[in-house]
Amino acid sequence: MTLVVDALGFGYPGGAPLFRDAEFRVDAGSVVGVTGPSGAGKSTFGALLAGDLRPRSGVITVDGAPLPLRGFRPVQLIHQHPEHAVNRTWRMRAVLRESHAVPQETLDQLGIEPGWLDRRPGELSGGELQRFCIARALHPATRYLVADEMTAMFDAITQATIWHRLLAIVRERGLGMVVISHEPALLDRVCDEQVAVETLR
Amino acid sequence: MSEPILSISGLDVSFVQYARGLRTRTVTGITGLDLEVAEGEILAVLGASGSGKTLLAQAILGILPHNARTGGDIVFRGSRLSPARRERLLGREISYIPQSVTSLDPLMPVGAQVRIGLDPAVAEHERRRLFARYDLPDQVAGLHPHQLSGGMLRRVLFATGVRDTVRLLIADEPTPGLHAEAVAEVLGHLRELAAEGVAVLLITHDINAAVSVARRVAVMNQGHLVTVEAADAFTGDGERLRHPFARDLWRALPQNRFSPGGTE
Repeated sequence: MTLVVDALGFGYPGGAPLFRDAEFRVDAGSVVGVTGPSGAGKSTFGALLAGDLRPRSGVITVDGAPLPLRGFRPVQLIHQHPEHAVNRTWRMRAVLRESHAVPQETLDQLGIEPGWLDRRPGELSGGELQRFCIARALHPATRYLVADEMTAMFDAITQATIWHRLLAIVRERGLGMVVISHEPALLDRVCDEQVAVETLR
Repeated sequence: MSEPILSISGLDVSFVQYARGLRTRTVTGITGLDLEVAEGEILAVLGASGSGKTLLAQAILGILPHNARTGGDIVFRGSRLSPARRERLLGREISYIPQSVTSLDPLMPVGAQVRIGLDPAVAEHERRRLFARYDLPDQVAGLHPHQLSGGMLRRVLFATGVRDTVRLLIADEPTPGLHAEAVAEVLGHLRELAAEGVAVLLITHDINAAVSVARRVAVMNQGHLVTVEAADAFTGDGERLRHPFARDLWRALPQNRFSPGGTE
């Protein structure tokens, strides 16, 4: 059970190739960090893993099957700015339902309070909103998560709380996880291994 | 300590919201906040999102949402900051560097944005000087924000906010999402301004940035300023920090205990 990137090539139209023959793998149940300075391609790599961008060449396989081009994506991306990832006019109940009927147990594990479900995104703090984005990504068919600077915008206590709660779920479900961050201390804390994005070029 | 540039006493901020129909409810943003920033000082304001630290900046700048009610006093250089006085001082003596680079106008070349508010006779000359100060190549002036890297946009924001006449600079979250060298660069710019006598209010949730650049760190939680700590007390297991919430914040860092609060 592995997410495998084989001979991946990618570049933005008109730009120099960002990745050439990149090889990368994450086993289910393990947490891999991706490091590198801003502009080095970390977020692009995350978007490729999740299927938000299509590689120019090479293959990405999820537990042996190619990354599906339509339908549910087994690799789910969690963004840095949750306020840009949800519909601002919906109540949170609808934001969750867009993905799946999130079990009460998951909401409890993430510390989502029942009263928050009737609010709109603007009435929640960033940390509260991010928990909804995480809940939404934890679809029963999700096999891997990509956390792209998931807690960079939050204070230390919110950051530690979100990570402890999410890592418990990831362990329980045996998910694989890719963590993109520029904060070495955080990666040292949460990852089993780390890869510098420059080595993927 | 030298003369305070900014002195805030008993600041309250609350919001009136419509709950259902015409019934309203009042939501408290900030309660009873006292704070002083001296000439040449960098004071960091640390707190969680939702703790009221951005409201503090908005209250000083007079840019709170229209349903906000405020109380208490804000005194700038010895006299009360009335709306009329604020109007005269904003952009001249009081300046603001916003949190997001999306505050730049996406349709206007960055050079023109730096010239806004400058005396037209010397604007272009000043623009060149500010570009040189923030290490921005001259040819960048004609480019639009989307053509610049995140680090360059930060420097453009500094160039739009810094004027010779500025005595108080409010910087709202200038560091998140930047890698270590870029953070060091931003903090270096703040230090430079303080050395010129500018009072700097650095609003941030980045403890490391706050501690490395400020001497005093004010900590906010749920609308209250709970404590002002010496920056050098943020060390070890935080045993020299006076307030339990400050200790919790410090210990929650991944390089410390990575504890989700409640270590007290």
